[in-house]
Amino acid sequence: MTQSIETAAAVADKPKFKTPLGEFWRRMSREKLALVAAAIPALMLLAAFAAPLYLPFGPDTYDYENTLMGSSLLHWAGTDEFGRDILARLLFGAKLSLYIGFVSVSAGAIIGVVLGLFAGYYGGWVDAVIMRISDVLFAFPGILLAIGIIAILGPGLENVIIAVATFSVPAFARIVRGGTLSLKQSTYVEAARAAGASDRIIMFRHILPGTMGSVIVYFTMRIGSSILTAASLSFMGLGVDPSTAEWGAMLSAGREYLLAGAWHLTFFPGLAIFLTVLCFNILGDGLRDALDPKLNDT
Amino acid sequence: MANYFLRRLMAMIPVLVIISIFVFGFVHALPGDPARIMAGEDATLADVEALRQRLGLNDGLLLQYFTFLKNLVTFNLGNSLRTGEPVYDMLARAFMPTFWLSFCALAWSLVAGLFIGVFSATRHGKAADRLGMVVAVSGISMPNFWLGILLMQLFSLKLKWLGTSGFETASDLILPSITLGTTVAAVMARFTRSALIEVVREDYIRTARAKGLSARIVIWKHALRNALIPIVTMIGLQFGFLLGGSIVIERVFRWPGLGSVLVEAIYVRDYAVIQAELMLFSFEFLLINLVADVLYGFINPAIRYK
Repeated sequence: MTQSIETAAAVADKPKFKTPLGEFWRRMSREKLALVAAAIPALMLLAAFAAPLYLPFGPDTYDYENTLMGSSLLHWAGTDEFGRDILARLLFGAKLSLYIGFVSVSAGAIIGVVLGLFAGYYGGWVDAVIMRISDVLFAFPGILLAIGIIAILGPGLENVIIAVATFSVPAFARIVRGGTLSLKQSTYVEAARAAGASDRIIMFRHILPGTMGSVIVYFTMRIGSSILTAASLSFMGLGVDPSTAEWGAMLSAGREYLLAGAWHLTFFPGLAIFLTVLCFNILGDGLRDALDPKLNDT
Repeated sequence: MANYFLRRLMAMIPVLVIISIFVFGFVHALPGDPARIMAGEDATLADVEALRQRLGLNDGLLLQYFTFLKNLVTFNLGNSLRTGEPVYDMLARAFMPTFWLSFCALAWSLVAGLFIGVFSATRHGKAADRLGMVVAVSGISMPNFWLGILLMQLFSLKLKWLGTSGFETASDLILPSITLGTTVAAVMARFTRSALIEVVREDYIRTARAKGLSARIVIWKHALRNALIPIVTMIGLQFGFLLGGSIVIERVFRWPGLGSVLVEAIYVRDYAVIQAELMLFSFEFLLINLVADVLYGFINPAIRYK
């Protein structure tokens, strides 16, 4: 009883109407760590795009007089075996890694969401076929599937994106299918159907927004693991061209100089991967807490 | 139980057939003549024709597929297109190193993951819990190939306690298995924690407490037993992760295992080896999931397989 009085008082204090977005911001603003985690990749991108303004070197500026140098005022993170500035390469790698992560997960999400919507909405054989295939794909560990796809398609940037996107599809399909199955029964969908809305309108305008919360959470977490998978592929020489300023490829090339004591060649790219993936994982955890009311109670 | 196991084993067959179609199909889906691709760049026309004859590429596609299946089932995996060595021998040699690596990694990471998970769950919401989870999320985000290089730098290059690569003595297992198990330990810690937090809210836990049982008995005997059910499923999935992760880690430590064989085969487009490896990895993975499912029944008496 006292609780409802308090709630009433709280409502009286804040006469503002609660929008879903407003409610999301209110919850999200409590997740301080997640907000910091969201800012770091954004700052990395900003620093990467602004690099020509403050760095006198590009990622492929060779300088054979200054190879394998440690940190200095000129080269903050040192230089590699060709005298290329490691910081400049790391910043270029940030653009590349975030691009691979974002594009591959987006592609996987779009395909998975559409498949999940169709499977959940139509049911029957459409559901059976889509979900059986995605069960088989889902059964495989991501990196194994990615290596399998690279084994078939061969290395290269586009193939890495395809490989990483493929293993995102079944998870999105599964999440959206689950949401669609329950939303399909809801009163507002029934009302829309009674009002004569077409299947397409019901699926994409009425059901899809309802599944977006879990899609966004999963999307964020997946970017982290996709960046990690892409970097692993490049590290094994199965990803982008080995001379590209990609973090995994830099780490792989730098290993040759460990015995020579040039630890910074592998240390900084590894740290960059770790930090970026960590940020997306923390952000994903925070979003889940903010978007999933069930977990919010705990 | 044996019956259930058998039935599940049979259910693997359609999945394996689907995978075999993909694995068989990819050589044929590649642009150009498979024999031309498989023979390599410096093969003569006669070589290509001989290979085409030997591989039966002049037969119909369906017949070729059935020959492929028959060869798989009889372990007649063909010869490496590069070295001419029988693929079966290559895989047999590489199997045990990968097995030991995965086994050691799984063993330590399960124990560590369970302990960290229980530690965090029993201190739910406190600083110690948060510390445990920061460690766990860092473990999940850690590129394991980087961790391997860092460990190698410290223990092999600087302290000179351990070797840097290869598999000659048992001590060579230490660094690769620490590296490979880290992610699994972190995932298990997070998972154990949330499974345990769910269980601890149940009435029977309150009853056990009310009976005056010590916190240790309540957690380890009553709560963990029920929390273990989702955890066992997770172990199956994690073993699969190890299988994939070992491919990467084997590259770091130049481990003479299945992963190294696969990656090198991909470099030189040795399709006989790639096909055999993809089938082997898929089979292993399905088998592990099956075993995890069966273990379920031992842990949870509520589930009885009929």
